[in-house]
Amino acid sequence: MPRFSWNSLKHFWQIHVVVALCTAVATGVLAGALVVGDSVRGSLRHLTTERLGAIQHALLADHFFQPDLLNRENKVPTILLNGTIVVPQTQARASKVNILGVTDDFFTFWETEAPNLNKPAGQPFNAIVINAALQNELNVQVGDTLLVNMSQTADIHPEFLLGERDAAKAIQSLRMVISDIIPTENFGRFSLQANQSLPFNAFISLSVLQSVLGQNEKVNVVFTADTDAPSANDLTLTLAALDLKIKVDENHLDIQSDQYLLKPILSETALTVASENRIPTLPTLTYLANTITANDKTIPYSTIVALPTDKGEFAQLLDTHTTEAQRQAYQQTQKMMLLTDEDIKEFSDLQKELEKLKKERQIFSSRRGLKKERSELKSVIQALATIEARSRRGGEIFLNTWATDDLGVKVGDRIAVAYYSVTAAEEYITETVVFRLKGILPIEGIAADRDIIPEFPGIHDTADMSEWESPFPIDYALVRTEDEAYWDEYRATPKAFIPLEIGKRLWQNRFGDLTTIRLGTMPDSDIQTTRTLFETEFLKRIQPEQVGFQFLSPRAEGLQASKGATDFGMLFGSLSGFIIIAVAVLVAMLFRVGVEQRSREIGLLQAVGYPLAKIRRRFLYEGATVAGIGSLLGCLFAVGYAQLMIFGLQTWWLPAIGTPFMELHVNLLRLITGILITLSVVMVSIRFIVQELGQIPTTALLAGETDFTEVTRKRQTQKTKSTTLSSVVKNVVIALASVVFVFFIFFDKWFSDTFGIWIEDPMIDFLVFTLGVIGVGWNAFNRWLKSQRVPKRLNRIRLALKNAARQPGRSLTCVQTLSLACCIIVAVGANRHDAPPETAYAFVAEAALPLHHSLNTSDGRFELGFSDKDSELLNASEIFPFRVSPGEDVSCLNLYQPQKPQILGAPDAILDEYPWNKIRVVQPEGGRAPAIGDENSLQWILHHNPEDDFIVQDEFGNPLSLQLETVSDSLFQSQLIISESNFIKYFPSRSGYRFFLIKTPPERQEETAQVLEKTLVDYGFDLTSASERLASYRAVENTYISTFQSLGGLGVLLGTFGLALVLFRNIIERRGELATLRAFGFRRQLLSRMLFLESCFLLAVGMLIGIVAGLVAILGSQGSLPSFPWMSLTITLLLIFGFGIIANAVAVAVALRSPLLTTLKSE
Amino acid sequence: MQQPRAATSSLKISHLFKDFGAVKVLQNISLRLTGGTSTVITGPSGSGKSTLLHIIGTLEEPSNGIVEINNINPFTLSEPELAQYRNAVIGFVFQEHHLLPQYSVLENVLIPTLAFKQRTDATERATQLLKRVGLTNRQSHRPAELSGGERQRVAIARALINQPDILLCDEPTGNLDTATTDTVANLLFELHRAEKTILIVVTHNLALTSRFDRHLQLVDGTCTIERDT
Repeated sequence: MPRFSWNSLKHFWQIHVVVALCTAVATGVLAGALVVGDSVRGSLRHLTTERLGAIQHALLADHFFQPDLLNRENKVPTILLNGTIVVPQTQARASKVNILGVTDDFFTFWETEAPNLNKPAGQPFNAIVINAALQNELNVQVGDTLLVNMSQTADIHPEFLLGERDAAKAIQSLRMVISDIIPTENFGRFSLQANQSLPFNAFISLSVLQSVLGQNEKVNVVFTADTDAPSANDLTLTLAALDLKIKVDENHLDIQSDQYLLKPILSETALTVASENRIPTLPTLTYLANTITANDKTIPYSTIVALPTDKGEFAQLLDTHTTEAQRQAYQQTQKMMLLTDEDIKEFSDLQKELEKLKKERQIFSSRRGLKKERSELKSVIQALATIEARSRRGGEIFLNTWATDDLGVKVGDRIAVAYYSVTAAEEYITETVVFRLKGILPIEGIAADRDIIPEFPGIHDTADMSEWESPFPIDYALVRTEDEAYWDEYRATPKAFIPLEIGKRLWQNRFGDLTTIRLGTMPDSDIQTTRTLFETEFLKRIQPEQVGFQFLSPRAEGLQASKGATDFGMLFGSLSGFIIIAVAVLVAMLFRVGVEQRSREIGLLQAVGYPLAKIRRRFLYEGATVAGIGSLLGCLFAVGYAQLMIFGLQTWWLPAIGTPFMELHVNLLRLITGILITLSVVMVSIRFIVQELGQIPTTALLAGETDFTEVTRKRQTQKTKSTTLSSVVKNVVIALASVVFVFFIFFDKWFSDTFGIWIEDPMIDFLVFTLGVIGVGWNAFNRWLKSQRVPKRLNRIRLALKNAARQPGRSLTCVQTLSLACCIIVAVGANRHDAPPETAYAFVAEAALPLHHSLNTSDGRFELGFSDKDSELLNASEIFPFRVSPGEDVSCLNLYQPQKPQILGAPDAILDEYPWNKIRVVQPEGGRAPAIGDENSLQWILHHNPEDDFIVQDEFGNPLSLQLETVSDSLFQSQLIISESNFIKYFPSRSGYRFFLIKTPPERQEETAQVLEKTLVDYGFDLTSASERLASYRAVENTYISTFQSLGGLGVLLGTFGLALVLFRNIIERRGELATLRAFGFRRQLLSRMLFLESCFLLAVGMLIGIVAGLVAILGSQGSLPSFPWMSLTITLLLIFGFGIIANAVAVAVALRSPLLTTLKSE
Repeated sequence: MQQPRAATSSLKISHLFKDFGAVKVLQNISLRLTGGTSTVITGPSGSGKSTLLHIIGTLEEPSNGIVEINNINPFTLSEPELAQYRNAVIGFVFQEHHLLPQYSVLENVLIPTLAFKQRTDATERATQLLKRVGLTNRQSHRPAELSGGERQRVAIARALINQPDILLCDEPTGNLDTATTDTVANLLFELHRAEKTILIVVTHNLALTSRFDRHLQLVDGTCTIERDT
């Protein structure tokens, strides 16, 4: 048998060569697509290793720390900040710049020579080295000076009362001179972010940066090339590293924070450790009162300490100095307080006002689309907040004797305390709380203890109150001589005390609820032993992630991410699907031709007793040999095809990858996979053909019956005709399908409305319309093919067209294949939208450094440095600021698989509008937050099912479940969005606003953009037109569609080869008929024309049905053809038609080349 | 070129030679036939019967010698003229009927009329011919629905649609049983007489030869007149 096969292979070499070539094409396309996927992954992997050098792991912190904390031999301390750079001469600027403070050790990760970071001779400014990408952005040269802007580091969070938010002080500007420009490769490409775009990098000497930032010896990241990842065990935390300090007294320890408030995790752990070790504790919360008022007298700027007033030293002191008369007086007034008419009336009024305002607020919340002036809404909310504050009763308060005397109050009197609080919008508001004086304390003991009060920066060390330099506004006019005298004698000694739970209720915030924890001595121990034990146990309990440290494995994570959000192998495999299918069909057709040519041989073998299975195997062996050879050839083609696709991605389809970074990566395994898949497909096709051999009678084969399909069809037709039941079933199915079709077109809305079942899915509509129209088209064509009607007048054109009915099965298959392909091309092409979706916003802005002042108020704009005129201009705009937790871009613009998405906190002011109301928090749930994500990003990049929660990590490394609502065609394809209140809860240390949505009247957009970018240049404030942003997302989508159209079109072109092949087969089979026509005087030219017309007719019918089905489907599902890409689609379809015509012409020419008339001879 | 039907058809072959390379198929064949005569050509396989028939039918050119049909040497005509000439003057019936399966019986008969400008009475004539061959009730049928004899009768009607001067039949009954052979042969003669064509039939069926006016025997490319009445 092998010898027979080999001889057969040789004898029918032409057809086998064509089969092998087709298989080579299929293998090439499939394996090539897989190679493209490998190349994307390989290139991303290469980028990862290039940008990280030998860096394996990193310890990153949201604050500065001593690098010695990490117990590693091989480590490189570095400062890594995000900043902006401005060229003073040209005002050119670049934002999102990685500002790196490095030593020469940093460059050893790339085993390259370190650039010169030393101050250039004769230059007053320090040196900076930038990469070529940054150079291109700024258009600068070595020797040029740059202004480097970074966030100023501060211990106290800028959003706390005592935090520094002065724009001038919040940004650290540094003038530097360029000493070197390095290529954007190796360390020039360094980035911790997994993104293929070119980073802007600027390198500064570590010591210089530390000095400028006031962080001597400290860094915020340590890199290591060690392969074993550092863990919490490698980190030696100290109290200093946690910004904690302990004041030691002979009887107690006071634990306080440089950040003023003790972080909740630290205070909770300290109290737990103390409790477990029976260490007495006194937690306190100290706040600054703007005024303490009673009897029309006011004491300005006093410290108030909230502490447990009913126990310990304070209770003892109070008990000692409170008379029975005072106790009774307080009890009396307490009763009176509950019963006075004044109180009742005030409460009643407040309640009514509160209800009214709440009702009004509900209207805003529930009526989507109701546009209310934001300022009006804001004033309502503010009034609400004020009333709520006023309605609260402060409860009991204790004053020291100095304050009591100064105010002239007695136990039971009302004491009003006014203080600043900071709103979510980072604005100071004054709140007032009314207390009842419960006790009066002498300035002694704990009432005179200044140690429990942390140091107020800019306040505690001033000689006079008039010298206070506070971040919050101070009305120095209120300060009296008596107050200065108190300051001189008692400094910040508290004048008032309130119970701790009340203090927490009033002043606790996301940064903490205690300022000092005083620890007593353990039983049977001394204070030093207590301290040692406490410190050891305390530090043991603290997890680095809880205090802002992160252990990163950028290499492993980068390599993981380099698997890519989009599997380009699968993508191109899918996009090339048409080509593969077309080739598979071609191979099947070719093989069928080959087998049919040998029908007599098959019949003979059967006649002489060959088992059918053996004959089938013989053909399978032949097919496998031919396909195997073709597949091996296809490997070469695969590499070429992949190279072509990569070239396409770097040029024509560049928006799909953003940056031309790709290089060819050939993986042998992928090629083998491609070969195996193609071989499987081809062998299935061949198996299918060979299977049909047994269905034809031997006599028919011996008689040279060449059309297996027709023979099979005839037999099936005979069977079908004899089965009336089948015919009935067929008609019933057609009738039902028609009813469903009509129903879906006309009654889907009625059905949805009536039964509440939602079937108005555009995809369902689309499929129903497509299948309906295409089915009608095929059926009509099939009927025509089988029509027995004799035309009244036969002419050449009718004669030619009728020839298409010679093999109805083949003709119908051709038409079906072409129409499906064209329908898909039209339908996919119609999804291309050249115009971006509409948006209510004019701009999207991002700032490299956070803004702490509102752009919507004149005060805020004043603080940010806007002139009165510019401020006036901005009145016409509405700016929505978002908080930002840095992370990776989750849009289709990032090819890496995002590991840690960027998260935005949407401001309350926007939450009344759709779709933002979806993330308004009604009932907060622990560890779960409603969020908004773009449909495309979730589906294609994060590969997330919107039904499930999406898990991210909060600031402390805890899992946070995002309950996602999807939006489509949004501006937020790069981020996930939660409400600001949730953002603050889960990312409390992230300060300020770095993302903005801006509504501006069209006539003021250009001017507004200029003013914002110019004034906020130091913040790296970058405006992008919202339409452009949407267009950039859409460009990716459109590019994929273009790619599909190109490759799909190519597939259809190959499919037209199939059509040509069918034509060729028909001509070969009809040689006798054609010769007869020649004998009757039909010229060769006329025959050619008729055959050509016949094939073009099939081509046109197939394309027409497909195009009409595609258009009708889109019209049916979308209602219109908005921004339909007529031009590109028309060109694609014309190309297909043109190519089909050429292929047909060639087929006719080749088939008619051999002499026809010899077939007429009987001998 | 519109070829007028000759008042009396004639076929004259003088010193005809045909070879395919070294193989000499026909050697020095001379023949003269007039309208209304019938000729049968017999001979063993490979003797050149079909080749002679194809040369007469202008499907093949002779290597040497002259063929004149109605005093015109068709091989001097250009390809389009020859095609038109053949369409008008010659009718063919082949062993394989070569009916086009996608067309009805009537359409198949009409096909030769489409090669050039269609006669206005083509359909009428086709219908008449089908009536004469006994297939009136089958004219809308497809060839697949006919028996072998019926198919050959359609082929005869098709060959006569343009009223040819010469009717060439290459083994017209080769695939038919005896009874059907007789029917087809009777029909051929009947139509030949009615149309006054020159009928030339190549056959292996010696039983038929006695019904022809002339019997030519071809052996190794040379022609022997067995009978000439």
